[in-house]
Amino acid sequence: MSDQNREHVATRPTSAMSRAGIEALFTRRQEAIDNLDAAALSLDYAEHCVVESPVAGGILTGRDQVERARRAFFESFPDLKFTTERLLIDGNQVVQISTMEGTDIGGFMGLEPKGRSFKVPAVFFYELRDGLIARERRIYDFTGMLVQVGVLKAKPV
Amino acid sequence: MTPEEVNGLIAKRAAAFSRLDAAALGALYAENCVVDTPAGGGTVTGRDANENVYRGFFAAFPDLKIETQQVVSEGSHIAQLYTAVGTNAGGFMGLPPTGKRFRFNGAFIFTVENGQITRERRIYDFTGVLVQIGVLKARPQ
Repeated sequence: MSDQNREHVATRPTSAMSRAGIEALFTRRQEAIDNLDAAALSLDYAEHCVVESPVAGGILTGRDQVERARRAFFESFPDLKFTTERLLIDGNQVVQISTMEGTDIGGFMGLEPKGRSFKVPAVFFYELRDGLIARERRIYDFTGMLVQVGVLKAKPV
Repeated sequence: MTPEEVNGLIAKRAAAFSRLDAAALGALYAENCVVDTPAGGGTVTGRDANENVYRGFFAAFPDLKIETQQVVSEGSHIAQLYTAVGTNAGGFMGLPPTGKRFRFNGAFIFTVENGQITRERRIYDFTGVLVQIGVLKARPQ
């Protein structure tokens, strides 16, 4: 763990977060995504968090699983661009309305890289507890993304 | 919006969905609303066009059920996470009914101005739903 990450843990609030605190959390997360830093991103999760992720085939449980899945995603799409259009903050609930885009340069889902790009609107629903993400649900056209990058081929029945 | 206003709007939508009442749903939108609806063919503009999209869904999926999982709001913006289940019993996108069932989690993101929905985006695994209901066939490439 880098010194920067140690500080990241040490400064975490222990009770409900302020709006400014939540905004700071998501600003920091954006920087970590820009740097493809799966380790830094995983520090924001509760140890026993639950994340619903279409890519991971359903539900990820625990910080380590979340980190592994994200690391694999970053390796598949090393040019990943994640743009947040709007953050809705409502108590301990946060919704991130975004666009995800990237190119299958590293190979996705165990397949050879196809070099094809995807771009999808995506919505992430978060529940925070003690300054950490306890639950996250990711909603986007996952099957459409698989078709865009060429993992799946779709045709009318 | 106050929490009461948000809850009131979500309750009205839920009641209209449970009755498959396209007119009641349509009436919650501003006349010049803009709605991103993958299943409606992209972006539709105007209350009547949006109501017609609802009418089309309800004819295609007459057992459609929308169950709210989570509602998050801030200012004039609301995000609703829901689970939808239904059966392609009426035929979708001009095709004959397949009788196939679907189930998915989706997000409605909407903006409310003067008590009316002016903007809505519907985000979910639309391509996956087309595969589930037998409109598209997907295979590993």
